[in-house]
Amino acid sequence: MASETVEAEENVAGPTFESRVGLRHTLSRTLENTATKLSLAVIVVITGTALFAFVDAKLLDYYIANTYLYNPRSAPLSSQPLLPPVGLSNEFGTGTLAHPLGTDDRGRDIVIRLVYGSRIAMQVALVSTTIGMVVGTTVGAVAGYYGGRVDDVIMRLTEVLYSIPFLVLVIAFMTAFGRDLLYAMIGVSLVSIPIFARLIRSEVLSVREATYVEAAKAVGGRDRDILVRHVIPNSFAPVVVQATLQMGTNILIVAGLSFLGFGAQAPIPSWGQMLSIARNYMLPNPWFSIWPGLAILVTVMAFNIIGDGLRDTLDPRLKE
Amino acid sequence: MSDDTLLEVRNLQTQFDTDEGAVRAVDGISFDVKRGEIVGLVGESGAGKSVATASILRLVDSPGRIVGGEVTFDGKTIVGFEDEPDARGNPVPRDDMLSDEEMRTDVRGQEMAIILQDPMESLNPVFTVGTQLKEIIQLNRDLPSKEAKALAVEMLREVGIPNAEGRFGEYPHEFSGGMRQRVLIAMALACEPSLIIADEPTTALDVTVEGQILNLVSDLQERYDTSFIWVTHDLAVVADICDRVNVMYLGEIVEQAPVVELFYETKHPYTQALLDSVPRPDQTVEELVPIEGVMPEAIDPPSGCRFHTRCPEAREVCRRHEPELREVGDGVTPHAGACFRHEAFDAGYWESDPIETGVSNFGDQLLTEQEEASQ
Repeated sequence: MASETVEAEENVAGPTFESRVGLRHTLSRTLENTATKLSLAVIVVITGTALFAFVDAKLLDYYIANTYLYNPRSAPLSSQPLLPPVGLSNEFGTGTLAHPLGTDDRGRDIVIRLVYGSRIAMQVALVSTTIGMVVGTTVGAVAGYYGGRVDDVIMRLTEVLYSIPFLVLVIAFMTAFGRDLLYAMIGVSLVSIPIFARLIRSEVLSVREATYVEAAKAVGGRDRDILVRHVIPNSFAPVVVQATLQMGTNILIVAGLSFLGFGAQAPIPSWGQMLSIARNYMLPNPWFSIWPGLAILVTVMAFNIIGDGLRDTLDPRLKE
Repeated sequence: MSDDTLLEVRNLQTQFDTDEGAVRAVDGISFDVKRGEIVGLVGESGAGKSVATASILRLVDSPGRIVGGEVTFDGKTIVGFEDEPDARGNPVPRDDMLSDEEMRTDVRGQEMAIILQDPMESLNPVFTVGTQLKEIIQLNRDLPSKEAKALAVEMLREVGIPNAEGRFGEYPHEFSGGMRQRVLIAMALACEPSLIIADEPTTALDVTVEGQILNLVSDLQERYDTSFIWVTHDLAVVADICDRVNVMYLGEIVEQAPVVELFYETKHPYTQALLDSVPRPDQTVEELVPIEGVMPEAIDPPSGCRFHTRCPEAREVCRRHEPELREVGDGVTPHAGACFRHEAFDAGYWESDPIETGVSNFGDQLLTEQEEASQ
């Protein structure tokens, strides 16, 4: 046996560029950047808020909000509408600590509306991005791996999707199926399918030529298994980056839809819808539109910064 | 086919259809592999060695395709065509030729395995070495997960990986080149195939590690009685490990002989040129002689003998006629060569005029200039 010769061949694999594999490594490298770290903190806070809102709205039927806070859907008649944030005053009165960011046109507390609106934003980000990513990755990977006729058919179809302006696509989709948040999310995911499909396809085209894919074929691996076990995991890095960026984009699209009256329907609070209402009071009371706008801005920006951070870690071409 | 012949390749032809025309990467090669034997396939880059092995595994990707010949492996027909092509001139597979699915389930991994050239790239970077080895075992053998894992660890130990248990859970990047090649050998051996194709497995390794791997393969080969096709361009490796050797040039086999015979009774100028271009421990020479020129493109091979454009012995007849592989030995040891210089051909070589092969003596000039400069 060759075991006695093995000592001479001490394993000296140092931290080569390949050690970028592994979730822990990717995360720790990504978080070296302060902006990324901050953004992640922002997302964690918003996700926590959204989770709380989700539990209270869906499972407890606004029990916590009604008992300890304000009802985000309706306010008592006594409450003052269009109250400014604390420290400012307008013709309706002076801002109080009871409503730190002021109240909206129906006297509902803006803080609580923002909190419950985050649920919609995060739900959209997660659900529509996941659907788009799963479907897009699957069809794109299949197209890239099998090539030929399969590739042609799939890619032409996704290009058809790509060629329709996204707002028209989503609005047509919702007109056909109903003005429900679920359809808004599915509609938005339709928009992102071609993005993911094209992205992973280009990656699969190079990975399918890798030696380990050839090796897997040579030991009798099934095409399907090779695709799932070898090709997709090795093509996935840019998809992760794109998914993060896409979350921000999708939040923005659905906010836009809500603004136009599609998406989440009143009285369920959502940021886009808050903006839409605030538009009517923009000049005398600009703060009313600033808060939901700020919420969207911060969330989308956080997603984008994380996406950029991930790209810096995952894309070997950007490494020094 | 005699009983101890495991693999029989007859007149195998593989071509690549390109826009410029058909590139005949493998152009009618024939050789046998007997049970328990290591057969070398030697040649320069581009000689068609890797395409030949891919053809034997039926893993030639489009635009490449096998267009002729016969490959029989252990009684199974891997490649076989009807005598008559179809209306469009394409070869028609015979009924007894294995289907793609049968190739996948019954031959690849089970009966034939391949060790690829680059150990750095042959393992999937996102899974642990153990997982990949276990997966191959489960793919080809009906074993429960636990037993497959035990066998995988056993195999790692078998190929001389220290602390096999612990290294089972490590990723490929945590292994050195030599260690990875050991893992690949373990993968090839895992299902105890009867034939392993080793496609330049030690080319990417340094010489000391190469030596260890060659020893390991020799040991394992004796233990498992596996046959090998050893593809390489390194004659030192051939001398070390092979029983019989096939020398390939531009898609054809030009010489076929047992290893000792090949080194001492060289019959083809190309083999001779290969031998002269590397240092040998048994001969002292002033200067190594490189083979002049580069291998011509397979899309437009030279007329006659394909080596005549670079052959120092080329004569008129070599340009006009193509020599086929013929028995040219002493009648005791089988030794085939494809060169008109041997009596077996009787093609009028010796009466023919020598031709200028058109290769410059650029290398010599350079050497002389260097010598002058140093003086």
